[in-house]
Amino acid sequence: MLWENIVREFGRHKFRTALTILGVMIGIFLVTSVSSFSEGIIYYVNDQIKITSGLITVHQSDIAGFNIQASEIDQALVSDVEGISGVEKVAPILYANIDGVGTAIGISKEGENILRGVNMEIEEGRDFSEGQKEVVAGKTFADNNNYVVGDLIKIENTEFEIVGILQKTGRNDIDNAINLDLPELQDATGKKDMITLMMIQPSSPEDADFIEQAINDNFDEIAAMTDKSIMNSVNDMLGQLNALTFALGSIAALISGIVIMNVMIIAVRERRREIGTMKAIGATNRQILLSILMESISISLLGAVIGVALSFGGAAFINSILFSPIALITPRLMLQSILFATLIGAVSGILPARQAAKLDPIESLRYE
Amino acid sequence: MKKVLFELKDVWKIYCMKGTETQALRDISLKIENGEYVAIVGQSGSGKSTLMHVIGCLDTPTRGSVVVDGKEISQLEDDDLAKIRREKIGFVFQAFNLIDSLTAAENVAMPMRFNGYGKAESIKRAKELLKRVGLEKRVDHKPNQLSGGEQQRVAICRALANDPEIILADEPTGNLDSRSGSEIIALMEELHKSGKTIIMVTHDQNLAKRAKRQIKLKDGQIVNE
Repeated sequence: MLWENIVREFGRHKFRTALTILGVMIGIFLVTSVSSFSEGIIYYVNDQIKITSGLITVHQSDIAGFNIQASEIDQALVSDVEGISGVEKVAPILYANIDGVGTAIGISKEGENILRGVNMEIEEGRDFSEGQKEVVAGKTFADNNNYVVGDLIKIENTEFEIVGILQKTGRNDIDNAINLDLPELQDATGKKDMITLMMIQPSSPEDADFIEQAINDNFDEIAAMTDKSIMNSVNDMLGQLNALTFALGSIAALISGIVIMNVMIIAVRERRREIGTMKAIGATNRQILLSILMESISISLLGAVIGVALSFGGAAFINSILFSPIALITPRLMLQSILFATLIGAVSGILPARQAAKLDPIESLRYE
Repeated sequence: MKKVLFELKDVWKIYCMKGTETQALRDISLKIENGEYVAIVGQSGSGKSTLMHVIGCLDTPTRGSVVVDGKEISQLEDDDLAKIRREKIGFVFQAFNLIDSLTAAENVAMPMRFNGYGKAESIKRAKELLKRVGLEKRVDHKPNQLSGGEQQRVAICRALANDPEIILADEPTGNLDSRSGSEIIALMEELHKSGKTIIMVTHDQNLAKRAKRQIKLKDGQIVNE
Protein backbone atom coordinates (compact mmCIF):
# COMPACT_ATOMS: atom_id res chain seq x y z
CA MET A 1 0.00 0.00 0.00
CA LEU A 2 1.30 3.40 -1.00
CA TRP A 3 0.46 5.30 2.19
CA GLU A 4 2.95 7.99 1.26
CA ASN A 5 0.86 8.69 -1.80
CA ILE A 6 -2.40 8.91 0.16
CA VAL A 7 -0.86 11.34 2.63
CA ARG A 8 0.58 13.45 -0.19
CA GLU A 9 -2.78 13.52 -1.94
CA PHE A 10 -4.35 14.98 1.19
CA GLY A 11 -1.65 17.61 1.20
CA ARG A 12 -2.21 18.45 -2.44
CA HIS A 13 -5.84 19.40 -1.88
CA LYS A 14 -5.82 20.57 1.72
CA PHE A 15 -8.94 22.67 1.48
CA ARG A 16 -10.97 20.07 -0.35
CA THR A 17 -9.87 17.32 2.05
CA ALA A 18 -10.58 19.54 5.06
CA LEU A 19 -14.10 20.28 3.84
CA THR A 20 -14.83 16.62 3.28
CA ILE A 21 -13.49 15.75 6.72
CA LEU A 22 -15.67 18.53 8.13
CA GLY A 23 -18.73 16.95 6.51
CA VAL A 24 -18.06 13.56 8.06
CA MET A 25 -17.16 15.18 11.36
CA ILE A 26 -20.52 16.97 11.64
CA GLY A 27 -22.41 13.77 10.85
CA ILE A 28 -20.51 11.65 13.33
CA PHE A 29 -20.69 14.41 15.95
CA LEU A 30 -24.49 14.52 15.68
CA VAL A 31 -24.98 10.77 15.72
CA THR A 32 -22.59 10.22 18.62
CA SER A 33 -24.07 13.04 20.68
CA VAL A 34 -27.61 11.75 20.23
CA SER A 35 -26.55 8.16 20.86
CA SER A 36 -24.82 9.25 24.05
CA PHE A 37 -28.29 9.89 25.44
CA SER A 38 -29.60 6.38 24.92
CA GLU A 39 -26.21 4.95 25.87
CA GLY A 40 -26.44 6.82 29.18
CA ILE A 41 -29.94 5.55 29.80
CA ILE A 42 -28.90 1.94 29.21
CA TYR A 43 -26.01 2.45 31.60
CA TYR A 44 -28.21 4.13 34.21
CA VAL A 45 -30.97 1.55 34.00
CA ASN A 46 -28.58 -1.39 34.23
CA ASP A 47 -27.22 0.16 37.39
CA GLN A 48 -30.65 0.82 38.76
CA ILE A 49 -31.78 -2.72 38.06
CA LYS A 50 -28.87 -4.08 40.07
CA ILE A 51 -30.15 -2.29 43.16
CA THR A 52 -33.87 -2.92 42.69
CA SER A 53 -33.36 -6.41 41.34
CA GLY A 54 -36.28 -8.64 42.28
CA LEU A 55 -38.08 -5.76 44.00
CA ILE A 56 -41.33 -4.04 43.05
CA THR A 57 -41.38 -0.26 42.97
CA VAL A 58 -44.61 1.52 43.97
CA HIS A 59 -45.08 5.20 43.16
CA GLN A 60 -47.82 7.79 42.72
CA SER A 61 -49.93 6.55 39.82
CA ASP A 62 -49.66 9.54 37.52
CA ILE A 63 -45.90 10.02 37.98
CA ALA A 64 -43.43 7.89 36.12
CA GLY A 65 -40.12 7.67 34.36
CA PHE A 66 -37.24 9.81 35.49
CA ASN A 67 -39.51 12.07 37.47
CA ILE A 68 -40.17 9.39 40.05
CA GLN A 69 -38.73 11.48 42.89
CA ALA A 70 -41.69 13.86 42.51
CA SER A 71 -44.07 11.08 43.51
CA GLU A 72 -46.07 11.50 46.74
CA ILE A 73 -47.92 8.70 48.54
CA ASP A 74 -49.85 8.58 51.78
CA GLN A 75 -47.89 6.37 54.16
CA ALA A 76 -51.15 4.79 55.36
CA LEU A 77 -51.19 2.80 52.12
CA VAL A 78 -48.14 0.83 53.27
CA SER A 79 -50.20 -1.37 55.56
CA ASP A 80 -52.75 -1.95 52.76
CA VAL A 81 -49.96 -3.10 50.48
CA GLU A 82 -48.52 -5.30 53.22
CA GLY A 83 -51.88 -7.10 53.24
CA ILE A 84 -51.54 -8.32 49.65
CA SER A 85 -50.68 -12.00 49.55
CA GLY A 86 -47.14 -12.72 48.47
CA VAL A 87 -45.75 -9.48 49.92
CA GLU A 88 -42.87 -10.25 52.27
CA LYS A 89 -41.64 -6.78 53.24
CA VAL A 90 -42.42 -3.20 52.30
CA ALA A 91 -39.85 -0.41 52.55
CA PRO A 92 -41.30 3.11 52.51
CA ILE A 93 -38.86 5.71 51.19
CA LEU A 94 -39.00 9.50 51.21
CA TYR A 95 -36.86 11.64 48.96
CA ALA A 96 -36.47 15.25 49.95
CA ASN A 97 -34.49 18.10 48.45
CA ILE A 98 -32.97 20.03 51.33
CA ASP A 99 -31.68 23.57 50.84
CA GLY A 100 -27.95 23.69 51.33
CA VAL A 101 -27.66 19.90 51.53
CA GLY A 102 -29.13 18.24 48.48
CA THR A 103 -30.95 14.97 48.36
CA ALA A 104 -31.94 13.34 51.62
CA ILE A 105 -33.31 9.80 51.63
CA GLY A 106 -35.50 8.83 54.52
CA ILE A 107 -35.76 5.09 54.92
CA SER A 108 -36.84 2.68 57.63
CA LYS A 109 -34.43 0.22 59.17
CA GLU A 110 -36.33 -2.60 57.54
CA GLY A 111 -36.22 -0.81 54.19
CA GLU A 112 -32.49 -0.53 54.48
CA ASN A 113 -32.23 -4.26 54.90
CA ILE A 114 -34.06 -4.78 51.62
CA LEU A 115 -31.90 -2.35 49.67
CA ARG A 116 -28.59 -3.06 51.36
CA GLY A 117 -28.73 -6.52 49.89
CA VAL A 118 -26.84 -4.88 47.04
CA ASN A 119 -23.51 -3.15 47.51
CA MET A 120 -24.30 -0.27 49.80
CA GLU A 121 -21.85 -0.91 52.59
CA ILE A 122 -20.70 1.48 55.28
CA GLU A 123 -17.11 2.49 54.75
CA GLU A 124 -16.57 4.48 57.88
CA GLY A 125 -18.45 4.85 61.17
CA ARG A 126 -21.80 3.11 61.63
CA ASP A 127 -25.38 3.14 60.40
CA PHE A 128 -27.93 5.61 61.78
CA SER A 129 -30.11 4.44 64.69
CA GLU A 130 -33.88 4.60 64.77
CA GLY A 131 -35.38 7.71 66.35
CA GLN A 132 -32.02 9.50 66.47
CA LYS A 133 -30.88 12.72 64.77
CA GLU A 134 -28.25 10.81 62.78
CA VAL A 135 -27.41 10.52 59.08
CA VAL A 136 -25.22 8.34 56.90
CA ALA A 137 -23.60 10.33 54.06
CA GLY A 138 -22.90 9.16 50.53
CA LYS A 139 -19.22 9.10 49.56
CA THR A 140 -19.30 11.89 46.95
CA PHE A 141 -21.44 14.05 49.18
CA ALA A 142 -19.02 13.70 52.08
CA ASP A 143 -15.94 14.26 49.88
CA ASN A 144 -17.35 17.30 48.11
CA ASN A 145 -18.32 18.99 51.37
CA ASN A 146 -15.31 17.79 53.37
CA TYR A 147 -17.52 16.06 55.90
CA VAL A 148 -16.11 13.45 58.24
CA VAL A 149 -17.81 11.22 60.77
CA GLY A 150 -18.88 13.33 63.74
CA ASP A 151 -19.66 16.51 61.76
CA LEU A 152 -23.01 18.17 62.16
CA ILE A 153 -25.37 18.92 59.31
CA LYS A 154 -28.53 21.04 59.26
CA ILE A 155 -31.76 19.74 57.72
CA GLU A 156 -34.23 22.63 57.60
CA ASN A 157 -33.88 23.76 61.22
CA THR A 158 -32.79 20.54 62.87
CA GLU A 159 -29.18 19.51 63.46
CA PHE A 160 -28.13 15.94 62.61
CA GLU A 161 -24.85 14.18 63.22
CA ILE A 162 -23.03 12.33 60.49
CA VAL A 163 -22.40 8.91 62.04
CA GLY A 164 -21.25 7.04 58.97
CA ILE A 165 -20.09 7.33 55.36
CA LEU A 166 -21.14 4.85 52.67
CA GLN A 167 -18.78 3.17 50.26
CA LYS A 168 -18.83 4.63 46.78
CA THR A 169 -21.52 2.88 44.69
CA GLY A 170 -20.88 4.67 41.38
CA ARG A 171 -24.49 5.86 41.36
CA ASN A 172 -24.80 9.58 41.58
CA ASP A 173 -28.23 9.51 43.29
CA ILE A 174 -26.84 7.45 46.19
CA ASP A 175 -23.27 8.75 46.40
CA ASN A 176 -24.43 12.35 46.42
CA ALA A 177 -27.16 12.00 49.05
CA ILE A 178 -27.60 11.46 52.78
CA ASN A 179 -29.62 8.66 54.39
CA LEU A 180 -31.52 8.93 57.62
CA ASP A 181 -34.39 7.41 59.56
CA LEU A 182 -37.68 7.97 57.74
CA PRO A 183 -39.69 9.49 60.66
CA GLU A 184 -36.83 11.89 61.37
CA LEU A 185 -36.81 13.19 57.78
CA GLN A 186 -40.61 13.45 57.81
CA ASP A 187 -40.46 15.49 61.01
CA ALA A 188 -37.65 17.74 59.83
CA THR A 189 -39.32 18.51 56.49
CA GLY A 190 -42.88 18.66 57.79
CA LYS A 191 -43.97 15.85 55.46
CA LYS A 192 -45.74 13.86 58.10
CA ASP A 193 -47.10 10.50 56.86
CA MET A 194 -45.87 11.23 53.31
CA ILE A 195 -43.51 9.01 51.37
CA THR A 196 -42.14 9.07 47.82
CA LEU A 197 -42.25 5.39 47.04
CA MET A 198 -42.38 1.89 48.43
CA MET A 199 -40.06 -0.95 47.59
CA ILE A 200 -41.73 -4.34 47.96
CA GLN A 201 -39.87 -7.57 48.48
CA PRO A 202 -42.03 -10.51 47.35
CA SER A 203 -41.99 -13.79 49.25
CA SER A 204 -40.73 -15.46 46.12
CA PRO A 205 -39.78 -14.00 42.72
CA GLU A 206 -42.79 -15.73 41.08
CA ASP A 207 -45.15 -13.55 43.15
CA ALA A 208 -43.83 -10.30 41.65
CA ASP A 209 -46.15 -10.20 38.63
CA PHE A 210 -49.18 -11.01 40.77
CA ILE A 211 -48.37 -8.26 43.30
CA GLU A 212 -47.82 -5.73 40.51
CA GLN A 213 -51.19 -6.68 39.01
CA ALA A 214 -53.00 -6.56 42.35
CA ILE A 215 -51.73 -3.06 43.17
CA ASN A 216 -52.46 -1.67 39.73
CA ASP A 217 -56.00 -3.15 39.77
CA ASN A 218 -57.04 -2.24 43.32
CA PHE A 219 -55.43 1.14 44.02
CA ASP A 220 -56.14 4.32 42.06
CA GLU A 221 -53.56 6.52 43.66
CA ILE A 222 -50.51 4.25 43.33
CA ALA A 223 -48.92 2.19 40.58
CA ALA A 224 -46.49 -0.71 40.78
CA MET A 225 -43.69 -1.80 38.48
CA THR A 226 -41.56 -4.91 38.69
CA ASP A 227 -37.96 -4.47 37.55
CA LYS A 228 -39.02 -6.41 34.49
CA SER A 229 -41.70 -3.90 33.57
CA ILE A 230 -39.30 -1.03 34.30
CA MET A 231 -37.00 -2.64 31.79
CA ASN A 232 -39.85 -2.94 29.31
CA SER A 233 -40.89 0.68 29.60
CA VAL A 234 -37.28 1.79 29.30
CA ASN A 235 -36.89 -0.40 26.25
CA ASP A 236 -39.98 1.22 24.73
CA MET A 237 -38.46 4.62 25.26
CA LEU A 238 -35.10 3.46 23.94
CA GLY A 239 -36.85 2.08 20.89
CA GLN A 240 -38.15 5.53 20.05
CA LEU A 241 -34.78 7.10 20.77
CA ASN A 242 -33.07 4.52 18.63
CA ALA A 243 -35.45 5.28 15.78
CA LEU A 244 -34.41 8.92 16.05
CA THR A 245 -30.75 7.96 16.21
CA PHE A 246 -31.20 5.65 13.25
CA ALA A 247 -32.87 8.39 11.21
CA LEU A 248 -30.15 10.88 12.09
CA GLY A 249 -27.48 8.29 11.44
CA SER A 250 -28.88 7.45 8.03
CA ILE A 251 -28.99 11.09 7.04
CA ALA A 252 -25.46 11.66 8.30
CA ALA A 253 -24.23 8.56 6.49
CA LEU A 254 -25.98 9.53 3.28
CA ILE A 255 -24.67 13.09 3.27
CA SER A 256 -21.10 12.29 4.25
CA GLY A 257 -21.15 9.30 1.93
CA ILE A 258 -22.20 11.46 -1.01
CA VAL A 259 -19.60 14.10 -0.15
CA ILE A 260 -16.81 11.54 0.06
CA MET A 261 -17.91 9.78 -3.10
CA ASN A 262 -18.06 13.06 -4.98
CA VAL A 263 -14.58 14.07 -3.87
CA MET A 264 -13.15 10.65 -4.66
CA ILE A 265 -14.73 10.57 -8.13
CA ILE A 266 -13.18 13.97 -8.85
CA ALA A 267 -9.86 12.78 -7.45
CA VAL A 268 -9.88 9.65 -9.62
CA ARG A 269 -10.73 11.72 -12.69
CA GLU A 270 -7.92 14.17 -11.95
CA ARG A 271 -5.46 11.36 -11.43
CA ARG A 272 -6.42 9.31 -14.47
CA ARG A 273 -3.00 9.67 -15.99
CA GLU A 274 -1.23 8.84 -12.73
CA ILE A 275 -3.43 5.82 -12.15
CA GLY A 276 -2.81 4.73 -15.74
CA THR A 277 0.93 5.13 -15.20
CA MET A 278 0.77 3.11 -12.00
CA LYS A 279 -1.04 0.34 -13.82
CA ALA A 280 1.42 0.47 -16.71
CA ILE A 281 4.38 0.05 -14.38
CA GLY A 282 2.76 -2.90 -12.68
CA ALA A 283 0.05 -1.99 -10.17
CA THR A 284 -2.70 -4.59 -10.16
CA ASN A 285 -6.36 -3.60 -10.31
CA ARG A 286 -6.65 -4.70 -6.70
CA GLN A 287 -3.78 -2.47 -5.58
CA ILE A 288 -5.39 0.54 -7.27
CA LEU A 289 -8.80 -0.36 -5.83
CA LEU A 290 -7.40 -0.70 -2.33
CA SER A 291 -5.44 2.52 -2.44
CA ILE A 292 -8.50 4.56 -3.47
CA LEU A 293 -10.61 2.73 -0.91
CA MET A 294 -8.02 3.40 1.79
CA GLU A 295 -7.96 7.06 0.86
CA SER A 296 -11.72 7.35 1.23
CA ILE A 297 -11.71 5.39 4.51
CA SER A 298 -8.90 7.60 5.83
CA ILE A 299 -10.90 10.76 5.12
CA SER A 300 -13.92 9.27 6.85
CA LEU A 301 -11.90 8.01 9.82
CA LEU A 302 -10.23 11.37 10.35
CA GLY A 303 -13.63 13.06 10.36
CA ALA A 304 -14.97 10.43 12.75
CA VAL A 305 -12.16 10.80 15.26
CA ILE A 306 -12.65 14.57 15.42
CA GLY A 307 -16.45 14.13 15.49
CA VAL A 308 -16.26 11.68 18.39
CA ALA A 309 -13.91 13.98 20.30
CA LEU A 310 -16.33 16.88 19.82
CA SER A 311 -19.33 14.76 20.84
CA PHE A 312 -18.03 14.81 24.43
CA GLY A 313 -18.98 18.48 24.25
CA GLY A 314 -22.31 17.50 22.67
CA ALA A 315 -23.05 15.09 25.51
CA ALA A 316 -22.10 17.74 28.07
CA PHE A 317 -24.52 20.11 26.33
CA ILE A 318 -27.35 17.55 26.43
CA ASN A 319 -26.64 17.01 30.13
CA SER A 320 -26.69 20.74 30.80
CA ILE A 321 -30.29 20.99 29.54
CA LEU A 322 -31.48 17.85 31.37
CA PHE A 323 -32.42 17.67 35.02
CA SER A 324 -29.86 14.95 35.55
CA PRO A 325 -26.68 14.00 33.69
CA ILE A 326 -27.85 11.11 31.52
CA ALA A 327 -25.85 11.42 28.29
CA LEU A 328 -22.74 9.29 28.41
CA ILE A 329 -20.04 8.52 25.88
CA THR A 330 -18.78 5.04 26.56
CA PRO A 331 -15.82 3.36 24.83
CA ARG A 332 -18.38 1.11 23.17
CA LEU A 333 -20.17 4.12 21.67
CA MET A 334 -16.88 5.64 20.49
CA LEU A 335 -15.92 2.40 18.80
CA GLN A 336 -19.38 2.14 17.25
CA SER A 337 -19.16 5.63 15.76
CA ILE A 338 -15.70 5.03 14.37
CA LEU A 339 -16.69 1.70 12.82
CA PHE A 340 -19.77 3.38 11.39
CA ALA A 341 -17.56 6.01 9.74
CA THR A 342 -15.20 3.34 8.41
CA LEU A 343 -18.19 1.67 6.81
CA ILE A 344 -19.35 4.96 5.29
CA GLY A 345 -15.85 5.55 3.92
CA ALA A 346 -15.64 2.05 2.50
CA VAL A 347 -19.07 2.07 0.90
CA SER A 348 -18.70 5.51 -0.63
CA GLY A 349 -15.20 4.66 -1.83
CA ILE A 350 -16.26 1.52 -3.70
CA LEU A 351 -17.63 3.23 -6.80
CA PRO A 352 -14.67 5.61 -7.37
CA ALA A 353 -12.22 2.83 -6.47
CA ARG A 354 -13.78 0.52 -9.03
CA GLN A 355 -13.71 3.28 -11.62
CA ALA A 356 -10.03 3.73 -10.91
CA ALA A 357 -9.28 0.01 -11.01
CA LYS A 358 -11.10 -0.39 -14.32
CA LEU A 359 -9.26 2.47 -16.01
CA ASP A 360 -7.59 1.26 -19.17
CA PRO A 361 -3.90 2.17 -18.82
CA ILE A 362 -3.59 2.87 -22.55
CA GLU A 363 -6.59 5.21 -22.53
CA SER A 364 -5.47 7.04 -19.42
CA LEU A 365 -1.88 7.39 -20.65
CA ARG A 366 -3.20 9.03 -23.77
CA TYR A 367 -5.30 11.39 -21.64
CA GLU A 368 -3.58 14.73 -21.17
CA MET B 1 21.65 -19.42 -28.47
CA LYS B 2 19.98 -16.30 -27.23
CA LYS B 3 16.71 -16.45 -25.40
CA VAL B 4 13.67 -15.23 -27.32
CA LEU B 5 11.93 -12.60 -25.17
CA PHE B 6 9.08 -11.75 -27.51
CA GLU B 7 7.48 -13.86 -30.13
CA LEU B 8 4.46 -12.47 -32.02
CA LYS B 9 2.66 -14.75 -34.49
CA ASP B 10 -0.03 -13.53 -36.88
CA VAL B 11 -1.07 -10.77 -34.53
CA TRP B 12 -4.10 -8.67 -35.43
CA LYS B 13 -5.48 -5.79 -33.42
CA ILE B 14 -8.82 -4.50 -34.56
CA TYR B 15 -10.65 -1.61 -32.89
CA CYS B 16 -14.34 -1.07 -33.32
CA MET B 17 -15.33 2.52 -32.86
CA LYS B 18 -18.86 3.73 -33.61
CA GLY B 19 -19.36 0.91 -36.04
CA THR B 20 -16.17 1.48 -38.06
CA GLU B 21 -13.45 -1.09 -37.87
CA THR B 22 -9.84 0.04 -37.59
CA GLN B 23 -7.15 -2.52 -38.22
CA ALA B 24 -4.32 -1.14 -36.08
CA LEU B 25 -2.13 -4.23 -36.49
CA ARG B 26 -2.39 -6.55 -39.47
CA ASP B 27 -0.83 -9.94 -39.34
CA ILE B 28 2.32 -9.03 -37.46
CA SER B 29 4.91 -11.73 -36.78
CA LEU B 30 8.26 -10.98 -35.17
CA LYS B 31 10.81 -12.19 -32.65
CA ILE B 32 12.93 -10.11 -30.29
CA GLU B 33 15.82 -11.78 -28.51
CA ASN B 34 17.46 -11.03 -25.21
CA GLY B 35 19.95 -8.14 -25.38
CA GLU B 36 18.66 -6.63 -28.61
CA TYR B 37 18.41 -2.89 -29.26
CA VAL B 38 15.33 -2.40 -31.43
CA ALA B 39 13.71 0.71 -32.82
CA ILE B 40 10.08 0.57 -33.89
CA VAL B 41 9.55 3.32 -36.44
CA GLY B 42 6.68 4.61 -38.50
CA GLN B 43 4.41 7.57 -39.14
CA SER B 44 1.72 8.42 -36.66
CA GLY B 45 -1.18 6.07 -37.26
CA SER B 46 1.14 3.36 -38.52
CA GLY B 47 0.33 1.15 -35.56
CA LYS B 48 3.65 1.51 -33.76
CA SER B 49 2.04 2.60 -30.49
CA THR B 50 -0.41 -0.31 -30.65
CA LEU B 51 2.49 -2.67 -31.30
CA MET B 52 4.30 -1.27 -28.29
CA HIS B 53 1.21 -1.72 -26.12
CA VAL B 54 0.91 -5.35 -27.19
CA ILE B 55 4.62 -6.01 -26.64
CA GLY B 56 4.42 -4.16 -23.31
CA CYS B 57 1.55 -6.35 -22.14
CA LEU B 58 -0.69 -3.31 -21.82
CA ASP B 59 -3.00 -4.70 -24.45
CA THR B 60 -3.90 -8.11 -25.80
CA PRO B 61 -4.29 -8.87 -29.51
CA THR B 62 -7.64 -9.46 -31.19
CA ARG B 63 -6.19 -12.50 -32.97
CA GLY B 64 -2.86 -14.24 -32.91
CA SER B 65 -0.35 -15.27 -30.30
CA VAL B 66 2.01 -13.18 -28.17
CA VAL B 67 4.60 -15.04 -26.13
CA VAL B 68 6.58 -13.02 -23.60
CA ASP B 69 9.56 -14.79 -22.05
CA GLY B 70 8.00 -18.17 -22.78
CA LYS B 71 4.50 -17.24 -21.60
CA GLU B 72 1.49 -16.85 -23.85
CA ILE B 73 -0.18 -13.59 -22.80
CA SER B 74 -3.04 -13.16 -25.26
CA GLN B 75 -5.54 -14.78 -22.90
CA LEU B 76 -4.24 -13.42 -19.58
CA GLU B 77 -6.28 -11.38 -17.10
CA ASP B 78 -5.44 -7.78 -16.19
CA ASP B 79 -3.65 -8.61 -12.96
CA ASP B 80 -1.48 -11.33 -14.53
CA LEU B 81 -0.45 -8.84 -17.21
CA ALA B 82 0.33 -6.30 -14.49
CA LYS B 83 2.59 -8.83 -12.80
CA ILE B 84 4.53 -9.45 -16.03
CA ARG B 85 4.83 -5.69 -16.61
CA ARG B 86 6.25 -4.94 -13.20
CA GLU B 87 8.71 -7.83 -13.18
CA LYS B 88 9.94 -8.03 -16.74
CA ILE B 89 9.36 -4.66 -18.36
CA GLY B 90 10.40 -1.11 -17.48
CA PHE B 91 8.41 1.63 -19.19
CA VAL B 92 9.73 5.03 -20.24
CA PHE B 93 7.11 7.44 -21.57
CA GLN B 94 7.36 10.49 -23.77
CA ALA B 95 5.72 12.72 -21.13
CA PHE B 96 7.76 11.13 -18.27
CA ASN B 97 4.51 10.39 -16.35
CA LEU B 98 5.93 10.86 -12.88
CA ILE B 99 3.53 11.21 -9.96
CA ASP B 100 3.55 14.92 -9.11
CA SER B 101 2.87 14.50 -5.41
CA LEU B 102 5.76 12.09 -4.83
CA THR B 103 9.48 12.86 -4.61
CA ALA B 104 11.95 11.54 -7.18
CA ALA B 105 12.97 8.71 -4.85
CA GLU B 106 9.35 7.81 -4.08
CA ASN B 107 8.53 7.75 -7.80
CA VAL B 108 11.43 5.40 -8.46
CA ALA B 109 10.43 3.23 -5.49
CA MET B 110 6.85 2.81 -6.68
CA PRO B 111 7.25 -0.33 -8.86
CA MET B 112 9.06 -2.02 -5.96
CA ARG B 113 6.24 -1.05 -3.62
CA PHE B 114 3.75 -2.63 -6.06
CA ASN B 115 5.97 -5.70 -6.05
CA GLY B 116 5.57 -6.02 -2.30
CA TYR B 117 8.80 -4.48 -1.02
CA GLY B 118 8.76 -2.33 2.11
CA LYS B 119 9.11 1.42 1.98
CA ALA B 120 12.60 1.71 3.50
CA GLU B 121 14.06 -0.99 1.27
CA SER B 122 12.49 0.48 -1.86
CA ILE B 123 13.63 4.01 -1.11
CA LYS B 124 17.18 2.78 -0.46
CA ARG B 125 17.43 1.12 -3.87
CA ALA B 126 15.70 4.11 -5.49
CA LYS B 127 18.39 6.41 -4.13
CA GLU B 128 21.13 4.11 -5.43
CA LEU B 129 19.56 4.13 -8.88
CA LEU B 130 19.20 7.92 -8.85
CA LYS B 131 22.84 8.20 -7.88
CA ARG B 132 23.81 6.11 -10.90
CA VAL B 133 22.20 8.70 -13.21
CA GLY B 134 23.74 11.63 -11.35
CA LEU B 135 20.63 12.73 -9.48
CA GLU B 136 21.80 11.98 -5.93
CA LYS B 137 21.13 15.60 -4.97
CA ARG B 138 17.63 15.51 -6.40
CA VAL B 139 16.18 12.51 -4.55
CA ASP B 140 13.80 14.58 -2.42
CA HIS B 141 12.70 16.91 -5.20
CA LYS B 142 9.22 16.78 -6.64
CA PRO B 143 8.89 16.39 -10.42
CA ASN B 144 7.93 20.05 -10.87
CA GLN B 145 11.28 21.05 -9.34
CA LEU B 146 13.19 19.06 -11.97
CA SER B 147 14.07 19.85 -15.59
CA GLY B 148 12.65 17.69 -18.38
CA GLY B 149 15.90 15.80 -18.78
CA GLU B 150 16.08 15.18 -15.06
CA GLN B 151 12.49 13.98 -14.99
CA GLN B 152 13.18 11.52 -17.79
CA ARG B 153 16.24 10.22 -15.93
CA VAL B 154 14.02 9.70 -12.85
CA ALA B 155 11.57 7.85 -15.11
CA ILE B 156 14.39 5.61 -16.41
CA CYS B 157 15.39 4.82 -12.83
CA ARG B 158 11.76 3.94 -12.15
CA ALA B 159 11.82 1.62 -15.18
CA LEU B 160 14.90 -0.08 -13.68
CA ALA B 161 13.49 -0.38 -10.18
CA ASN B 162 12.52 -4.05 -10.34
CA ASP B 163 15.58 -4.86 -12.46
CA PRO B 164 13.60 -5.93 -15.56
CA GLU B 165 15.22 -7.49 -18.63
CA ILE B 166 13.40 -5.18 -21.00
CA ILE B 167 13.20 -1.39 -21.27
CA LEU B 168 10.31 -0.21 -23.39
CA ALA B 169 10.58 3.45 -24.34
CA ASP B 170 7.88 5.39 -26.17
CA GLU B 171 9.41 8.47 -27.84
CA PRO B 172 11.65 9.00 -24.80
CA THR B 173 13.21 12.17 -26.24
CA GLY B 174 10.02 13.59 -27.73
CA ASN B 175 9.50 16.20 -25.01
CA LEU B 176 13.18 17.10 -24.56
CA ASP B 177 15.61 19.59 -26.08
CA SER B 178 18.35 18.03 -28.19
CA ARG B 179 21.00 18.10 -25.48
CA SER B 180 18.84 16.42 -22.85
CA GLY B 181 17.65 14.06 -25.56
CA SER B 182 21.20 12.96 -26.35
CA GLU B 183 21.86 12.39 -22.66
CA ILE B 184 18.84 10.14 -22.44
CA ILE B 185 19.88 8.21 -25.55
CA ALA B 186 23.38 7.81 -24.13
CA LEU B 187 21.85 6.44 -20.96
CA MET B 188 19.71 3.97 -22.92
CA GLU B 189 22.74 2.78 -24.88
CA GLU B 190 24.65 2.32 -21.66
CA LEU B 191 21.79 0.16 -20.37
CA HIS B 192 21.91 -1.83 -23.59
CA LYS B 193 25.64 -2.44 -23.12
CA SER B 194 24.97 -3.64 -19.58
CA GLY B 195 22.72 -6.34 -21.05
CA LYS B 196 19.22 -4.88 -21.08
CA THR B 197 16.94 -5.39 -24.03
CA ILE B 198 15.93 -1.98 -25.35
CA ILE B 199 12.83 -1.46 -27.46
CA MET B 200 12.26 2.12 -28.50
CA VAL B 201 9.31 3.56 -30.39
CA THR B 202 10.24 6.68 -32.34
CA HIS B 203 9.54 8.61 -35.49
CA ASP B 204 13.00 10.24 -35.32
CA GLN B 205 15.11 8.67 -38.09
CA ASN B 206 18.44 9.73 -36.52
CA LEU B 207 17.51 8.01 -33.30
CA ALA B 208 16.28 4.91 -35.07
CA LYS B 209 19.54 4.58 -37.03
CA ARG B 210 21.50 4.16 -33.81
CA ALA B 211 19.54 1.04 -32.93
CA LYS B 212 20.95 -2.33 -34.00
CA ARG B 213 17.65 -3.26 -35.60
CA GLN B 214 14.73 -1.31 -37.03
CA ILE B 215 11.17 -2.50 -37.41
CA LYS B 216 9.32 -0.21 -39.76
CA LEU B 217 5.54 -0.13 -39.69
CA LYS B 218 3.09 1.18 -42.19
CA ASP B 219 -0.70 0.81 -42.04
CA GLY B 220 -0.40 -1.78 -39.30
CA GLN B 221 2.04 -3.99 -41.18
CA ILE B 222 5.79 -4.49 -40.99
CA VAL B 223 7.20 -3.10 -44.22
CA ASN B 224 10.87 -3.86 -43.74
CA GLU B 225 13.39 -4.87 -41.18
